[in-house]
Amino acid sequence: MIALELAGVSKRYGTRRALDRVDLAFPTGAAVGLLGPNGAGKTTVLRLLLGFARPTLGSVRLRGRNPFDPASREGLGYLPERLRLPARTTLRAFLELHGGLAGLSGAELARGVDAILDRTALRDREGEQLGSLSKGLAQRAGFAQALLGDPELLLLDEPTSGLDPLGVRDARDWIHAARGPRHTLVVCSHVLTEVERVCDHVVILSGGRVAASGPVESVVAGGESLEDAFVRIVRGAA
Amino acid sequence: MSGATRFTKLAADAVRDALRNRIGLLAILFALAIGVFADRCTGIEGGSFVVNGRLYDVSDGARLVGPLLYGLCALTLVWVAGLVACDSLARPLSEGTASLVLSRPVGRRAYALARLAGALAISVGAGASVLLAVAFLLQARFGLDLAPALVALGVFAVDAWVVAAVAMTLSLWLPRLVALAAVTIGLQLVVAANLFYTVAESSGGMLSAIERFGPPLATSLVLALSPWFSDGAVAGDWLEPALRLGVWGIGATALLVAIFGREEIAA
Repeated sequence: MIALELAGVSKRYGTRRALDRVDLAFPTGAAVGLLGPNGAGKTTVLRLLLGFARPTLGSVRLRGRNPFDPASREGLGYLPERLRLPARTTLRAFLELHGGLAGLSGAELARGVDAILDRTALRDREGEQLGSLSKGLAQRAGFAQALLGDPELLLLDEPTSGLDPLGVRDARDWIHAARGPRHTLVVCSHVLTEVERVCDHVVILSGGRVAASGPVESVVAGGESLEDAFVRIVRGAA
Repeated sequence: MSGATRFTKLAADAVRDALRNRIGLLAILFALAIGVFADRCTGIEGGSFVVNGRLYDVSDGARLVGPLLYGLCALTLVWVAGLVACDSLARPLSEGTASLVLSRPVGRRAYALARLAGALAISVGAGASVLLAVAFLLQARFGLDLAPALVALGVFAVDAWVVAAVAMTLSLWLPRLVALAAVTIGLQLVVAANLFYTVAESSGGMLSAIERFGPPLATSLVLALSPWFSDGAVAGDWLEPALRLGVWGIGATALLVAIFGREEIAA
């Protein structure tokens, strides 16, 4: 089954073209790295998938549904690049709200929140207000809400932003654990080594167009690192 | 999980959010201050006064003071509802906390309506408590019937709904302070038009148009409180203002939902 699909999608913000006739389709179970220089259109792709914006042209499908249909976001976890948490809410209350909206309730919700607090090493912070957390801890809290309820589709935008080296390693473990044949993962990141480690497919966007797409080994030429391939492809597309 | 359960969670979150961000507390404190104001205004002891050589008893003035005081309190609390609503949806959108909620299986319509319901729960809850207290004060001190006050309480809730929906819609287009200023000025114009044409014939112009097509916020309160008027001078037709108020409420809410449905959300 196709987990996410963009067919002939263009997106304009006023006169600026963010995406230009983008075609992408990934099956359930894929782990996709969405790469590109700043302004390439990565976050716009995520916004379209989440139903935050409408394409100017073309169609977007999330597990066969229009992203504006709330049911398309059942079992979806999302971590934005510019994570803004409600400052005066405690971590536990925040996770309980998101667990509830994700469909958990009662004892299942309490267990889910406890488990994710333990997994993200935030158990001793559960009563703290989110505004008092450091950037790294806030990012962990963001991860915790995204991973709540074992989401089948996980969209992560710069997931290691603000994390220290230990946090980066933890994040990699969480992402690995979130993968599976029923689980689809999309990671937008500038940290190509991380993408190489956790993704099996990559899409390289440049100037709003798909410059390269496919399994990592097909995009990377023999002996090249993903970073080398990225530089070659983006410069070639420019 | 059912849509109703999600809606309830979102509305409860909107209430908590308003309280955490002080705007809800401000509304409650403002409502309490209005209660104190009403207590002071109705605390006149019995006695008499002379105007142009004619002797009046204080209780004679109650029939005019009662509706004036109750109406003034109700309209001020309607403005407070607009104040809370200006913040309730615009702030999570501008701060970016709405995007996490909207990444869940939550529809735009449900989110906007839940934020409106949360804002109204605070402003109407606090307002209704204060108005009920004012009604009991007027009954105990001036001997005015409770029934008109209870009808006016319902009118207040509908007025608050209309103003909150308009304020929330404006807050999607305008900076919050500008939206609040627009709601304040708009409310004053509507009240001025309603009150002016309660005692005068329609004569054209902007106020006349507002009175004819705008939400009858003050007119409906005057009609609800009309049994308190000593001479029964204001006893108009209920149906047209009630229908117009309902149309404004439904229309403003539908507009809010439609506009928010087209809004692009920052990631």
